[in-house]
Amino acid sequence: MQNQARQLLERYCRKSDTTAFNAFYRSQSGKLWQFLRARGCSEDGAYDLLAEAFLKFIQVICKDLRAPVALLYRIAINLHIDSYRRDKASPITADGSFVDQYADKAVVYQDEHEYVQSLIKTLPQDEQNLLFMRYWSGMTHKEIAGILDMPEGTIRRQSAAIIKKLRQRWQEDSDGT
Amino acid sequence: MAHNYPIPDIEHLEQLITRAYEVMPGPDMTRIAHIEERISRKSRTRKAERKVNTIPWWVVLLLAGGFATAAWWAGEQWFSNEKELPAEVTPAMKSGVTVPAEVESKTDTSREQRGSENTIGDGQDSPVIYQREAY
Repeated sequence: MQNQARQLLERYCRKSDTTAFNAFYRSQSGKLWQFLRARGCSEDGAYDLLAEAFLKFIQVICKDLRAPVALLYRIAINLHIDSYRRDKASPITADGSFVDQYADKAVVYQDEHEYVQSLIKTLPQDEQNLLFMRYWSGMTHKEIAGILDMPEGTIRRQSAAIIKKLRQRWQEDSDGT
Repeated sequence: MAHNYPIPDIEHLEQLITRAYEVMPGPDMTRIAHIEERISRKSRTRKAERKVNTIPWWVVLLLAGGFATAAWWAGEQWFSNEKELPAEVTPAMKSGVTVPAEVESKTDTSREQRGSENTIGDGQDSPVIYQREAY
């Protein structure tokens, strides 16, 4: 994913190819919007942060093309933290509708997928972010480590610990039947 | 949250997590396209800004050229002034200074007078100390 993104952005930076940048935008914007929503942004807030993140991204990306996706997510996370501090509200409760929608569905889950959704929602925000980046954005441990500014080994251990925790909760819930 | 689903292995759980995210509601594509347009406009203006930023370099180049020309001109001026100066300043005594005729005749007469004065005391204090005799 990073290689393809890097190639597109190299074309944008070296040949001023705006179509290459638009292709990069289309490949990342949807997932980044979902990521911001999963972090607790309101729907409109996620669009605003998405636009702001990309505008900041085009100002700095040509200086260092090593990990463009990681850079984009890091900018988005920082912007979200800034807006959270400005609003002085909890990122989870900023717009409860998104989370509640999942929670409500989870109560009457009909299959494993809905149950897994409800399980994910019980995790802390940082762990949800990690799962999102790993299993939905398809980033490697190294890329996530770059975004969160942590050692790769720590991310690897945390991923394994989250999976273990989910299985443990699954076990506890099934024991409750 | 009780259920009767079998506990999945790690691989299956990872697949379930991925599928859980797949059902997440996506963004409104018209709004995403609107943002794309805004970003494209911004990136175009950034390109124009980048072009404007080359102007200071042209100013620096012109200044450097101006200084180089000024230095060359000043060098030329310096060397041309050096050529106008005399090559060597010689002391007045060593130069071939011509003595005016009047002054020379006066000196001659004074010598003759001195010679006649010398002859007065001849035999006593001759100015000739030694003279080879001619046989």
